Amino acid sequence: MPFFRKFVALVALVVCAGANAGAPKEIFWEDLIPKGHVQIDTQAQANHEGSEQNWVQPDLDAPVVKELNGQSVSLPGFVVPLEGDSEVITEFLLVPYFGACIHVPPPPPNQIVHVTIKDGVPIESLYDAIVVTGVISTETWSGEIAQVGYKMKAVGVAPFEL
Amino acid sequence: MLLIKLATKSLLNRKASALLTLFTIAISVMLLMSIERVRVDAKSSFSNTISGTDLIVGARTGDIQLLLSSVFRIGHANNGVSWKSYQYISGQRGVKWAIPMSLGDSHKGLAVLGTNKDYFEHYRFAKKQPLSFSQGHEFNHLFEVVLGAEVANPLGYQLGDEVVIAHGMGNTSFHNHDDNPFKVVGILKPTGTPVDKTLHIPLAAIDAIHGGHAHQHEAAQADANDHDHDHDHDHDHDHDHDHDHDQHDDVDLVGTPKQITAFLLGFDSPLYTLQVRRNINQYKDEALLAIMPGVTLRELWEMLSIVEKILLLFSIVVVLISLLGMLTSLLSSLNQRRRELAILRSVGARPWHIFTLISVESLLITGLGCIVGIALFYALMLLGADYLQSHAGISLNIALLSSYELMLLAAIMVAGFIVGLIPATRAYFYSLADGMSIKI
Repeated sequence: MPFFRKFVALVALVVCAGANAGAPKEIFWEDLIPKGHVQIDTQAQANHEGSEQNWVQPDLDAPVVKELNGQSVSLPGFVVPLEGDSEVITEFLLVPYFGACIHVPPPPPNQIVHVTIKDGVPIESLYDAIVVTGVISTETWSGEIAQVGYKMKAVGVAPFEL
Repeated sequence: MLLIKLATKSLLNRKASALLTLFTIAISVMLLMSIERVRVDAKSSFSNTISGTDLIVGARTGDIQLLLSSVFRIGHANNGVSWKSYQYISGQRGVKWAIPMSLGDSHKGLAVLGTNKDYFEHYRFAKKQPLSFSQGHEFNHLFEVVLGAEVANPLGYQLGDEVVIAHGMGNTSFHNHDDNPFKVVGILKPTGTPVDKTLHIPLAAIDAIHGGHAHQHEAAQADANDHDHDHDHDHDHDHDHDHDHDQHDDVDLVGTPKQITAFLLGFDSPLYTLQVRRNINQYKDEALLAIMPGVTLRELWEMLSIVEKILLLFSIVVVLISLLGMLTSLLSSLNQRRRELAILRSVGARPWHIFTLISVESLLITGLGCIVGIALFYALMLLGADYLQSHAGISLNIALLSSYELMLLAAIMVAGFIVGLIPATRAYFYSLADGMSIKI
């Protein structure tokens, strides 16, 4: 846990530094869904009773909140690591519930944030919730289909405390 | 200064026991350092091996087994993925690239990987570094091979040499595909990963060397680009390798194998990963398993962390035992040295001189023990690096001591000093008369 203490300090620093330019806004997962949009259960959308599986998510009706683009926010969640070395994780998906990948259907695209953190962050256990602070953006990925989703350049990560 | 000289002289007078103590400490230092170095390097070489890949897909086994067999060439896959499933999945929307991998053959104990050209373009290691060629280029014809750096160097292969692939894994094989030699067309730059010890051949060549129907036709396929029996399939999976056809003369480097060992997937957006992973794991036509390399590596570390801790604990205990050995020999030598100490006292040494003398002695033994231990450690690393590289896929980093290792050494020195204080305190309280009056 010594690493975490370091990062608490780091986040404290960031918060202090950011205080002048406006502290990061605390948001939660509901805030990532546009107001008035009724989110249908992922599983219901993904399974068309025996028909072709819906392989990628963009077909799901999951709009993003455009106003969040460029805002400095902090968001709690769980880590699904993508890139990193033996010590730190430099790129991960932030999801609202643990086990987002195995037991239950994965969250829809507007409930996943793709986080990159420049120098990486040591994550002790994937079971622990964390709070990520950084600038969130709504990004459109190029490809065969235009996919909209959230991306975040993180500046600090701290353990989540109830 | 004088005290150090005295301590050295006195130690030299008791060479045998002093040397033995010194070696016990040296060996324990070597053990601790080696275990720590291997542990740290194993971890970093594992996590440097794969990068930039969103999913690894193989037949259903354990997550960790799939990761180890497909990327690290440790263990083997029990089953493959049918070509049909590969085509279906890699043809889905959102899939940016797919690299089929076919393992199981070898050349002098080194793995042979059948793959397509996307491998050279999209495979990434250590922080998204692409593969690059030190000589030559990727394969463009059926019987061409691209060597990893560690294949070319020790075996002395040059561009244009011919290589024979053996069936199965092992140092030697009684079933060589020697009617089909491969021409070396490219050599990759070193990566410090299992790629270095791999021979890359076109996927279609794997089929071609394994008898079957391909065996009869391989010559025709290679020379005349005659797609006799392939022709009807081509329409089904044009989207898969049509770019291959654009770039070169139309040699079919992928072919239509029955099955492959595993494949790597990259998506347009990382957001697709979770959904596609679930879909592959629930794919009805075949029992498949998709893993995210980052997550599975984490699981592997979590599983191994207890072993790591036990190893560290053991080597620390060994260091403690060796320090206790030093304590024993110093304490038992005190009795023999009562006269020596008394003489020193009689010529004017104060009790704290005696105290310092014994402490310096223990420091000398620990210090020399550490130095000899480090020398032994480097000797062992130099000897063991090749073995570990070829048998466990761990590339050892024979560099200067890291700050962590220096910290370990400092801890040993402090422990040695503290242990030395015990006999030193005891000698401090010996009176002058005590040493003079004993009878020997």
